[in-house]
Amino acid sequence: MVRLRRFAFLFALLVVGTLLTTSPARAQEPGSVRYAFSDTTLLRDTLGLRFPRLFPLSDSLQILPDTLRALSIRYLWSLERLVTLADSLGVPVDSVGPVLQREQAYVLNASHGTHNSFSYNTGYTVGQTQSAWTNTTEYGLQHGPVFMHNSTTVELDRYRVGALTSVRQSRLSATELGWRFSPDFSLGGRVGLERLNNRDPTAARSYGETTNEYQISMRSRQRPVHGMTSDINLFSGLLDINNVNLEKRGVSGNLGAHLRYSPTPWLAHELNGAMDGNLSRTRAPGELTRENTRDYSQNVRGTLSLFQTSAIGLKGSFNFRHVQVETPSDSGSIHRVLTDNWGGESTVRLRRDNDRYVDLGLKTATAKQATVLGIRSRNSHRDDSFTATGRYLFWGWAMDGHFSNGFGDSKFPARSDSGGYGEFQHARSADATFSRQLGPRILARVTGSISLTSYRYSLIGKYTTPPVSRDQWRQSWRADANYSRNERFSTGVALDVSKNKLINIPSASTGSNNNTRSYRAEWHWTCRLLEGLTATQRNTLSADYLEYPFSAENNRLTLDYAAVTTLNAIMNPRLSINVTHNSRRSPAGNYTLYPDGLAYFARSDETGNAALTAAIAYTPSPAIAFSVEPAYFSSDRSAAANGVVAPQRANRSLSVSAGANINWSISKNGLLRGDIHRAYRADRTTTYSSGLPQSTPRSQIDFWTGSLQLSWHI
Amino acid sequence: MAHLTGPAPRLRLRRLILLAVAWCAVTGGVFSGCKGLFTPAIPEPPSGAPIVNHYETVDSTLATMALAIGAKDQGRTAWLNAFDQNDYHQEFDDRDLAAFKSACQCAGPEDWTFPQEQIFYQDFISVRPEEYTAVFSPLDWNPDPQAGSTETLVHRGYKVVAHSPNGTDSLIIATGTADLTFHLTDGKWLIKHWADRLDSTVGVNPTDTWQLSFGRRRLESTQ
Repeated sequence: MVRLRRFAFLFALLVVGTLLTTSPARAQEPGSVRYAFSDTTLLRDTLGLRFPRLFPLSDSLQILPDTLRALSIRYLWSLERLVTLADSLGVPVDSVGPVLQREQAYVLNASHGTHNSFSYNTGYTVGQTQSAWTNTTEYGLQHGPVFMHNSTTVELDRYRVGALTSVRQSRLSATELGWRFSPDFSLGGRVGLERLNNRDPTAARSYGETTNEYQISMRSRQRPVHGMTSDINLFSGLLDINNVNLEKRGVSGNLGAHLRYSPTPWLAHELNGAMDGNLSRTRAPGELTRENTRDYSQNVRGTLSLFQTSAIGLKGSFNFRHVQVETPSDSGSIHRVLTDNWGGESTVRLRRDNDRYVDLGLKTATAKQATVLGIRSRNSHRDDSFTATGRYLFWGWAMDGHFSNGFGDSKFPARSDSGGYGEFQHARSADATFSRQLGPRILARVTGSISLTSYRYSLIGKYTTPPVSRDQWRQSWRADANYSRNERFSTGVALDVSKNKLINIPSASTGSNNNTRSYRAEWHWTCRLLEGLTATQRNTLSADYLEYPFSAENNRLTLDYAAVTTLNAIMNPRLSINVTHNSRRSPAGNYTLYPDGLAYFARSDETGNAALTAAIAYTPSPAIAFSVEPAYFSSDRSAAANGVVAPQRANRSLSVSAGANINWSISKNGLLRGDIHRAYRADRTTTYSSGLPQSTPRSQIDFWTGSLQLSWHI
Repeated sequence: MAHLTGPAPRLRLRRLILLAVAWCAVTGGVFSGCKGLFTPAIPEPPSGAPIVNHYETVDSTLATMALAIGAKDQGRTAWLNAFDQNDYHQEFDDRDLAAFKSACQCAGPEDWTFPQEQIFYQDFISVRPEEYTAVFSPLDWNPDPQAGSTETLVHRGYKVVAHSPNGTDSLIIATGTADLTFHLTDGKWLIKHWADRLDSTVGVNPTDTWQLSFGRRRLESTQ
């Protein structure tokens, strides 16, 4: 308790200090040092696309830079437009695309008049052992207040195992017909049909699944007060399911609601809720009697944002989920499966600008999962954690710090018939990073971290073999320095030192306690040798010392030398060549105690790997591209037998993949996309017996892979 | 314009000092004030002398396993490290498997790999509270074939005896033979395949019900 008070006092001090330095009107200073070590290859694009301010935006939105870049490419929107749309819709940036697509298809959003829309997509893919053919049609009709929509998908999959081929066919069709009484209310009916057939020659018999749903549909939209919008949708009707496990007939319903309340710029509240369920008469196939069953699920999610652009802001979210499924068992009784999840989190941000803030967060989550033994023996897990994240840019120093302290409590009451165990986990970590520009050409960064995770176990019932109570401790620091002479040449070095400890607590297991000290040095450089020709090399040197405090005879040292060299040549806008050579050598061994009382290192094994890969791409037009990718890989291993290191095994493999990609617009309505490749691979292994090589016969495999997709929209 | 030019140097210095004090206070709290937050637990000393793991030869692996059983709890790691974690399989004697299925009225395990071996060891050292001694010995009537450079097969008889504290009484709790296939992995000879055979002189239903094979003991550990 005294510790808690001391902690609270220290935090209050930090909060007060930060508040005193807060001045919201202060202009933002550039923070380029912070992004100096980012992966700048993300900014390059051969299609001529640009991603200005990618790193600051992704940092601000708390999304990975490559994810933000992928979203921009997928929806063909600039980063600026993507962020503007996210702000306008009040959704996270990665939800913008799905929300817009959903709103486009929402019947209450349709404009007046008569509209027809039709799209057809077909795709065929072939692989080494399987092929799939998919056909999808979407048809929409609106005539005044009447609307109709149909979506049909047919998928045929074939899987080949040896000389046997199994076939899986699925067909889905959903049709809805309705009347829009007003821009905010519609009523209709819908039919959902699903068929699944599976024919497996190795199984005793084929099996299938049939699902039929006939429902009335109601959609409504409300704007009760200023700043509040809501949607309520209801679907209810008859259900008929037949599969190998059950036959279920009854009534089903689905009620979904969405509420958004944002009366002022400083408040945004969003609530999503859904209830699904059915009341059915159910029996196992072959049984004579039917039983009453009830399946239902409740799902509620909400978010609350307060003062997001102010000096002090709050963001919170909560969720609740409950699922009950009842199925008949072989004995005729009803087996009930329950799943529960609930949780919440809140973050307070004390912010001066994007480079000077502190986030304080609390999180709690509980999950209860069914086990095969029934509802009385559910596994449960609860997580509670506190996190603090701080950032400050001061006199050219970019400082980032993170602290977290979390507790996890799990119960596994039915690991066996005799009982189970409980696990209590306490994880805490702290890390800090300091970056600074040293002169016009040198950037430096130092990172330090420490973490400790404790696991403690308690018995439930008479379970005999719970996991071992233990601690896992880690401490590390890393120093990086990058030097950029000009845009043609840059280089950098890094040194990484870490120490890991595995500490089993009970005396029965402490013999395997161990400490690992790791030292890694790295040197990398990039040089543009010619216009269009860039060379990159990364060299790493590492040593891992594995020490057993209670069993020094097992101490082990593993060394590792690795170098990766890449040549990237853009011969002309249509032809590019990429060549990569990768080599790695890893000797390892143990320490042997000699009569002089000292332990000496003795090499016991060594592994050497090398790989040479190339990728050649030729794009004569935007509609078609050709590629060839050869790769050669070698692996050699030697080991000590009776004190002598001798070759043990050698592998060689060659693979080549060549093919073409197509992306062709057919008039203004159609698009044909696809690829076809021929892959070849050959392997040979040589093993050594008493020093004599014994080669296995060369194994070869070659096959076609490909896919073709045709889309047509009217 | 004042908000664009920033605070005066003296104000800035004051803020810096305040931040430094706050930072030192917090880090002091984390790293020393709340002593123990990043301090790992002190483990209990190993019970008994630690087992020296030697897997450099087939015989040293078997000797390590025998020592492991003698050390009971403390030998758990030494015993388990003698098996190839990725490729270990144990084959039961058909007579043991049939007797077990008949007794338990169950299907019995379909395969026996490293995870099952972990459970077995814990169960086996709890069979008797007394101290154990174990021995793996060559079989005169079934000599070993020529050893390979990376894989070799040996035939061994085994016996595990539980001793009373005063050393006057003893009880055989495991006996049988095994065809053991060893594989050289990272300089260590590890067991890849264990084909277990019950002791024919004892039989599938021994008069002394403690005298079971390792295979039968493994099967019993699943109950």
